Amino acid sequence: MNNSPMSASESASGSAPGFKLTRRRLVLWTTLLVLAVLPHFFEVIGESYLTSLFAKIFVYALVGVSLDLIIGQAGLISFGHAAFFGMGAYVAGVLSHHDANQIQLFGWLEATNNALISWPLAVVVCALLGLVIGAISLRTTGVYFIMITLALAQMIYFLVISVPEYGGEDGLSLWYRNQVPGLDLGSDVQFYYVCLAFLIAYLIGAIRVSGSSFGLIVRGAKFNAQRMTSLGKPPFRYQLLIFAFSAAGAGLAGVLMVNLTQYVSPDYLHWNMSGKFLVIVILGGMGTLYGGFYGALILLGLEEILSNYTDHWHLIIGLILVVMVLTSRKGMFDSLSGNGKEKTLG
Amino acid sequence: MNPATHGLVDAEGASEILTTSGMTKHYAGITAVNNLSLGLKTGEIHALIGPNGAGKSTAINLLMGEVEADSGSIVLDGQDISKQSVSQRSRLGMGRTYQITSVIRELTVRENMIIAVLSQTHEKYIGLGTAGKSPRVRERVAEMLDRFDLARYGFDFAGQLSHGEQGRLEIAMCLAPNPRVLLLDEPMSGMSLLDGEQIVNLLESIRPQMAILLVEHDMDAVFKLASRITVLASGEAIASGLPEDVRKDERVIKSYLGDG
Repeated sequence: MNNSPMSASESASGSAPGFKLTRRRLVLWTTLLVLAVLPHFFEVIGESYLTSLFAKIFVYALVGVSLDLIIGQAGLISFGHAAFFGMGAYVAGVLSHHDANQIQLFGWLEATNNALISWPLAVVVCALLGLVIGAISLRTTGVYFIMITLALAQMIYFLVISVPEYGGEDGLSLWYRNQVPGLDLGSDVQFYYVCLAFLIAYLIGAIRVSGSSFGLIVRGAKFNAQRMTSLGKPPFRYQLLIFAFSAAGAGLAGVLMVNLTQYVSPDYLHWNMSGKFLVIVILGGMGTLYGGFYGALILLGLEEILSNYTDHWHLIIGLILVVMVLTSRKGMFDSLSGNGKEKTLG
Repeated sequence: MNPATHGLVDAEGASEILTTSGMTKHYAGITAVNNLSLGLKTGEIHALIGPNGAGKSTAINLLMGEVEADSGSIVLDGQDISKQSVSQRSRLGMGRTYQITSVIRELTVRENMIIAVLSQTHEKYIGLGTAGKSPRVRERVAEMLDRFDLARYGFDFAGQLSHGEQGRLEIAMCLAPNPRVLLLDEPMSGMSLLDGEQIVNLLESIRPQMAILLVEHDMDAVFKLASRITVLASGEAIASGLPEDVRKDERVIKSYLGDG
């Protein structure tokens, strides 16, 4: 199978002088432009609640990009990304919960509601968790890797719901969103832009990584681990690092999610969530990175639209997924941008 | 001279860069390699020949560390490397090709070469700069692609190259980090006459800088290239010495070379 020559890295390392308007760039810039003005448009048409829906799409898109980074670049199919998403949510949520109820953490540490502390902390915790889960899972490959990430993530799920202090299976409701000096995260519009900014920042990071020497070594290991090892670059270290970077992205999304919903749900840790993330990556297009956004847009958009008409919307989404997989293996982003072919439009 | 002597010391006295003694590997009931002693010298091509299943590929796997020897020692430039991992051995200056050409087919020729050039960077190297952008890497990649006549395929997928070109790319990738020892597992197998000839010329041109172990079935190429030949049969060296001596050895003729 000839995977597309990693379009993301091509654009990162493209040496063509000057700016060429390709179909791919047209799609991306149009998307960005639309997203930049969307909350104001929703306000004008009096459907402001859609702003929060799009914030949620960005959150899922962030996980989609982070998951696609390891699937597309490293060939590591994680069926346990909910562990990182949920862990990010729980770390930020628990801190906020302690802060709101004036309970010290572990009986001695002041909790905080300051996003500048709790968000980076949550992301670091998720990256570390990624190192641990990655170090264990990377001893296997293929189907075993999928299964072991699933198993480890489910372990964390059961571990967390066994803590009654944080709501057990009921989850944890929060009184307010985290606070950042100079911003009002309580405002849905401001929160929308915060989510968009994080999505773009992580996407740029992911594109940089995939176009870097590090990313090239990771891709080499995906296709020919034997060759990499006999060249003196055993894949493990590189795969572990990219796995942790991906975990950090999913954790950041979890942090944003808990702020968006003001509710820490154990569902965030459940394997259903991991499956949803995989669906997003497949819908959007594996190995494209941008696909994470388009996948989340389709999935959540369809969910929103179809659930107005029928309770059985899962069925329709399932059908769409099947059709998508059968007809356009490359997913939404490549279909929009012309299968990754660089065509100049003007 | 007794051609069956293991680990010959050459009359010229150049010291061996890679020496094995008593290298042995058993697989469930079969002895793949038995008490094999080899010596490789810089500037020499040491050919390892023998019928199928004689243990030639196992010998290369043992030398590179992909298979761990049951007993025996492998010494590279005075350092015992028999407990080192594949990648450690690679970093110490060993490279190998595979019987089934092992390039990264899904990446471009240039990307393959960038990886090869990057491969000897520090163990802890992460490399978040754009791949192939630093002048050092870029120049080395261009130089290697030029030297092995692959520059025009730079942006083609390695998997699209012909068999011969892939073989050339694989050797070039092994050479990019300037190895001291190169292990070649049937580099000419399945190649056209022309491609095989190119590999012979290529090996001639790199011979002075390194020690080469050549496993090959093409006897014309072996006798054209080899400074020394060791003949394996059922995991044991039945002869070892200069090509003309090996060619005359009766056991070798009987078990392998035939009337050749």
